[in-house]
Amino acid sequence: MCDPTIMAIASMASGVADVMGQASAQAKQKQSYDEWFAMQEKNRAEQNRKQEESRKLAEAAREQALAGVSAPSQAKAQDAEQARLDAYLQSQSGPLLDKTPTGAGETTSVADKFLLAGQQSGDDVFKSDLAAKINQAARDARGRIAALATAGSFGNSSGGLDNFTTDIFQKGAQTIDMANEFRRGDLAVYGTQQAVNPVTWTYTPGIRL
Amino acid sequence: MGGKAHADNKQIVEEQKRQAKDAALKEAQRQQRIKVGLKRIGYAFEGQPVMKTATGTFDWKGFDPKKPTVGLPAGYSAVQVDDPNYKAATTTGTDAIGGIGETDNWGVGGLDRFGNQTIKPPAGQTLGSGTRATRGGNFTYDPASDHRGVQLAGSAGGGGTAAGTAPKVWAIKGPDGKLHYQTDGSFNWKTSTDTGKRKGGFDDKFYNEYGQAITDYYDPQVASQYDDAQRELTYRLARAGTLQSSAANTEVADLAQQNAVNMGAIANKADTAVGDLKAKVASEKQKAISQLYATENPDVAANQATAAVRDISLQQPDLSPLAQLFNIAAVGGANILRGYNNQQMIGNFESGLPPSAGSGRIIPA
Repeated sequence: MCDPTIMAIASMASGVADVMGQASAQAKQKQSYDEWFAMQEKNRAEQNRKQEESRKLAEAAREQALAGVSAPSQAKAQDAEQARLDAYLQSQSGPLLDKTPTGAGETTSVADKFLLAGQQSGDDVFKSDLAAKINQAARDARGRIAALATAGSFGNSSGGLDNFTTDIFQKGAQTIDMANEFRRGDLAVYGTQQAVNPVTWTYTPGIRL
Repeated sequence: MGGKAHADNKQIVEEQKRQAKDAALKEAQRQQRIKVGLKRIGYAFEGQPVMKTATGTFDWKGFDPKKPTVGLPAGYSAVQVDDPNYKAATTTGTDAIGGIGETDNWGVGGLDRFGNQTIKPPAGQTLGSGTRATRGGNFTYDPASDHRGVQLAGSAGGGGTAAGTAPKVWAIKGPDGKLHYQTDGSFNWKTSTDTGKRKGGFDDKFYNEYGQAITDYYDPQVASQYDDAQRELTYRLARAGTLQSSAANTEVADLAQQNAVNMGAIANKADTAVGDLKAKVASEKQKAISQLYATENPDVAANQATAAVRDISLQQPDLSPLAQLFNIAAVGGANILRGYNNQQMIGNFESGLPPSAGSGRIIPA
């Protein structure tokens, strides 16, 4: 049999050790939680930064697209396209517009280019009459082609508003899609980071005497 | 006997951390692949930018810290960085926290017996950011204090990096990330800038050729119909005996106007077809981008883009023959009857009229 006094002292010593051990475990647990919290805080801040970066990228693209399709921007684009298309169509419209000068200084010599077989022998009065009518026809044709260019520039000509606005929206959407794709990926990563648990500490008491 | 504190889930947490780290790395790589893929798709459709290389020598004498961006080559930037020539003094401490020069006897590595950090640098010094110390020496607790240890005689501490911060200096950072310090003197730079031109892709030449092919197909048809219409008008006017008349001129001018408007309409048709082609190109680009996101693999996306480019290049306009474009005045039919009636009228009053001088004489305005 052991001496009861020794047993009591041993028990007390063991108790003191347990208290100290528990305190140590608590300190380690606290440190573990602190580390986990700091890590989560860092991840959250990093995630916020990335989300904000992507959001700004998307927002900038959206604003740029909006500015691009604004009324003044479309009006400017339509004007430019109308001028381009008008010049292109006029240049492709054959001899009437090629050979006939515009505005003042119209010449009667244009009549020669349009004479039918058997008309060459016509006198000056005849030719002058033809020249006047040809010049009038050229003015009318220019007017109609200009109207065609105007109509086309509002619609589906190669640089018309159909293509213009579609292109702007498409480019904006591509940047927004990319930003969203990055946000989606970053959020998935954040999910895995959030799922990381803190290390948990347990104190196992010693043998009681 | 005393117990023991142990971590229950350390291995699990380590695995979770590893997975989170892997996920972050994979996502960074995925985003990089998407960026590269988008760039390649852009090159396939819009062409690769034509770069211009320029070289020169940068002289620090012209550098003004108040205007650090002035005079820098394109792609280079002025940055303030730690002085690379700053030498951090390394000391060998004689205590636990070797390197910061403490003279008193602190506990092992600055830890108190509860494991809390108790390092406090001496007045006038701050802890360096480098390796604090190679801990050395043997310590025991100071019985007079819970927080301090006593270094055992004959056990020296380890070395460490001295406290302090390197001063900032200006450097020029190149596009490749290389730093050129002022102390190194002048340096040669090489930079490439975008000329604004593009090589490959769907350029104006491509679209112009497409439009030209359409007008080249239709214009001869219009010209042929115009010739036919002129010939038919000539016959009709001649049959009516009004070839050299004001009415004939009206019809000639009308045909010329119709021809101009028809050719303009053909050009407009070609331009609209070019617009459709541009829309198709944009649509194919969008498909390639969608596929990039689906695969997240730039190579697959580039292949898709190349296939789309090939398909578009094989695209043919819908070229159907033109219908009858010109309206010719019914000069002949109407005038045959009128001519007959006129002859009758002339016959009736022939005796009272001067000799006939022909029909359709132009009356000057």
